[in-house]
Amino acid sequence: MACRKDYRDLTPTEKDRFVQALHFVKANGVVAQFAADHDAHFSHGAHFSSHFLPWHREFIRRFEVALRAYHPAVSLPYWNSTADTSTSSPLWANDFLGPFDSAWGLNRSLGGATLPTPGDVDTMLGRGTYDAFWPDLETVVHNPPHNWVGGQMASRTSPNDPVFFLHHCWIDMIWAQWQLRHPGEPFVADSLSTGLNDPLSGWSTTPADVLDHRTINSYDYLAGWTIDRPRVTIAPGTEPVRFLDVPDGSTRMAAVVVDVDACEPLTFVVEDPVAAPPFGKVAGSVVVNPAVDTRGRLWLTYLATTAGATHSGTVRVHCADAVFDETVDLYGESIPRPTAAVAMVLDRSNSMNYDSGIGPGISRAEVLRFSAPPAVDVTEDGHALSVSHFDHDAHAGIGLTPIAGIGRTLVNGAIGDYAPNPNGWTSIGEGIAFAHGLLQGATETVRAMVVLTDGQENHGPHNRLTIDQVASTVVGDRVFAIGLGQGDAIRPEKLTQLCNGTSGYMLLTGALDGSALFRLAKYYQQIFAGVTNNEVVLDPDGLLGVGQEHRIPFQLTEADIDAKAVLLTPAPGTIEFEIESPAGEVVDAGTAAAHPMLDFSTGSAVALYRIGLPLPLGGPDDAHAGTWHAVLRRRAKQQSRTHLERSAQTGVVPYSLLVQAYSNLRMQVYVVQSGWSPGAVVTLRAVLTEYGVPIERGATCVAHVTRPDGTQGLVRLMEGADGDFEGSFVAAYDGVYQLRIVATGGTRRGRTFTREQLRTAAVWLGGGSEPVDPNGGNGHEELCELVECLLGEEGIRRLLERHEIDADALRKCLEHWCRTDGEGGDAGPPARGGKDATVESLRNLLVDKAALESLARHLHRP
Amino acid sequence: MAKRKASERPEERPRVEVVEGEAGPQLVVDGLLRRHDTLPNGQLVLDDYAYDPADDLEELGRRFADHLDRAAAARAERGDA
Repeated sequence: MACRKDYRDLTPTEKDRFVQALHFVKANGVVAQFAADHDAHFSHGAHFSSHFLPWHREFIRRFEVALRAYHPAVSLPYWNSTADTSTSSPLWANDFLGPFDSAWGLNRSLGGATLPTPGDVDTMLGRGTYDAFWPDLETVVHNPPHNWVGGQMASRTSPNDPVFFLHHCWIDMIWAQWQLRHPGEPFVADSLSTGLNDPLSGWSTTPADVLDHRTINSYDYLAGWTIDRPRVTIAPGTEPVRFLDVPDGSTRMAAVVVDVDACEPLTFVVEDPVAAPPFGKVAGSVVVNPAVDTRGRLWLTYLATTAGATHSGTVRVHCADAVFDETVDLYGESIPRPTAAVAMVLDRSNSMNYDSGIGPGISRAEVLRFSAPPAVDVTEDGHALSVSHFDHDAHAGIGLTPIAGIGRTLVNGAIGDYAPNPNGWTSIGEGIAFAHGLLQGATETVRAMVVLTDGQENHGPHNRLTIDQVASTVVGDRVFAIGLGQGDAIRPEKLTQLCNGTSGYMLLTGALDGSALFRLAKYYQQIFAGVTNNEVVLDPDGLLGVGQEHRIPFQLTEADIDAKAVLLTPAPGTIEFEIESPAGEVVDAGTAAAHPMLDFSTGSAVALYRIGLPLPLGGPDDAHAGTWHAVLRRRAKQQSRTHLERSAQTGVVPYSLLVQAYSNLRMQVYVVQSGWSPGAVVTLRAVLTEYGVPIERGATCVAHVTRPDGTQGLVRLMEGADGDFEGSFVAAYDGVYQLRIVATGGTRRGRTFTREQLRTAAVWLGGGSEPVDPNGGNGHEELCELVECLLGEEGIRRLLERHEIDADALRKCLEHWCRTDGEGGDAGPPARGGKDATVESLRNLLVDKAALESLARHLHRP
Repeated sequence: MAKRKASERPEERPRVEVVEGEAGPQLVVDGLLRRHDTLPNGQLVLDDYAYDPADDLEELGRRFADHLDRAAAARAERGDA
């Protein structure tokens, strides 16, 4: 409800908004129409009749409505002409109504009459009956200001002067005050046509319709005047307060929502709920300031402690100023903590044998076998995982297996058994359909699949299901995808579309190199965290030398229910890994083994702590919210076993520390591209919620963007609605953009929090156009495989070196050629030439001096 | 030099006349016909001076003239044209 107050109490914003609204209605002809209406009805009841006051109450209400077409927060202010009597008062200043005189041709003659006095108003307010009140009010208090202003204001078309409305707002307030002081005094008609239920001149509205001004507005009365009692109502549809489907162990917030009709701030007291816990209050006292928002929220909490349980309770809220005292029903419903069934779907086409780029001799398959198991190791008991593969057909690895006891080992064993098929194609649709079948039997709450591929869908001569064909069948599954490579090779358009349509997303690794050792592992970790309702708190990388110690701070808050500190490294046994609580208490593997709320475990490339919160560690307070530290120390070098371990033994050990929390404070991230060609706009959106409601203002959100050329930039996401951030950038360069979205802020209790997520965007030349012959290949597969094989031979590499040809650049060039039409156009039907033709093509390529020289020109080492 | 107030210049007072027109008596001020109307209570008001009703046209004309004088004086006081 609008609050009408003295114009001198308007804030600068309110004052400016009111002036602009006046110009708005003037330009729209509203002012002229109101002046004409006033003129037309002047002698027909609008003045000098018992309808004088109700007619003008309705008249200024309608004008106020017109002003709100400019801005909904505009209210009429009033001019107290008994106290504000100077011709040089702020009323006539240049920032308010002064300039209207000449601009609107009002011909004012301020001071050309005698204004009423406060005593006159007091006298009017003392009149005991309506028929004694209104005539004197009109004559003694209402008329003189019209003539004092003069010009248009003194005429029948006085609404041409905007001060008319401030003056009549004041007169209306005096009537409202008289009504408060004389409750029950009836409306008295002065003629047969100006009664309580007679229509006001020009409208069907009657005085009875407008007798209660509280249906229109509130007044900020003068000091010492009787005050309209503030009115408070529970917002419709918000009672009882419901906390539905709250996972076991989680806390949710919901509010008693009150609508306030008052001019002054009101203080509400929230008693402890009956049935506390599980219900609780956030604050015992809440001030609702209707000048800021007429809707107040009295927040309550519900802690779900027993899966399947329901709870009922009540909470009493009261406000003395408004004589408001209500008991509100509460209802809470606990559900089991959501569990997830996740199908890992792995591409085993031949290209997974190709060099990964991470290091010499490390294939993509090897990177996969390194990267996926830590995500399995980190997944909590209660979830289920499966592993399946696809080439041009789908193949079972291991069916859905509960992650408890031996289950984790079995799933990791299935990943370890993964091997590419040298003759395999890339039938992604078959892989998805197979995984969907595996998930059909799942009893877990969430069904998801994570599809890993390093190429575009390509069935060769086989007639197989496509992504398009299976897209409509995966209803109920969240689909995530990881593209191992560049956008132009993987052509992620359709897979991204499928993922986005199932609340999943797709990530691309881009070109991998030694610095991207953990990229695929991080992708798996983040996706698994998301589907198992864990939030990524922090995700830094580092290099740890012998004898070094890294202390990495991370923030946990009271909104976090439990946490995991995950150390990814090729050589977990070479790093001492400890956790330090905010009070400095140290947790190591030994502590964790003996503590019921701690767990420490290791895998082939991971070490992790599971931390229950709050965590009793013997100090005066249980460890929970505050700054924790992960402490990493490097032991002496040890013999490494695998390629990846050896790649790490360069004096320093690379690591990635990942802190996750099962939390009431969540961040959802959405990435949308306007297209797939360079120049596409990438829009990022992050939504932060705490206890299920948008986080209050004050958080910041940025995206660290690593461009395809490795340079970095920052995109600041701006907050629109509370907790809702958005930003965008133009992806101008061909390649994959790595996006790290980081949010920082404070919880409702003022604790610092951080949240991170990784996303990618990709554009490439020709992006978005139909891939060339996606199911038939380009007819050069055998040649490509042979060249790939030859380029892996050291002798051939040395030969190329002698000709100053960069073998890696040649490989990339050939890979690109192998994935597209070698002629640069639509290849049409596959023209697989057979082995003889392939060998002949290769021989021609390698012995043709001109061809080699041409290659050398293109691939010459800088 | 201080301006002389309009009220101090009796020779410049508005000239008020009541003349008979086709629709009855009409008020003419400084040669200009000023429309008037009758309120439900029988009092008269001018369109241009609507908030000071009078019982008869002559009285209304006098009041209007006074108002014009005061307005002119107020404008002169403020240095307006």
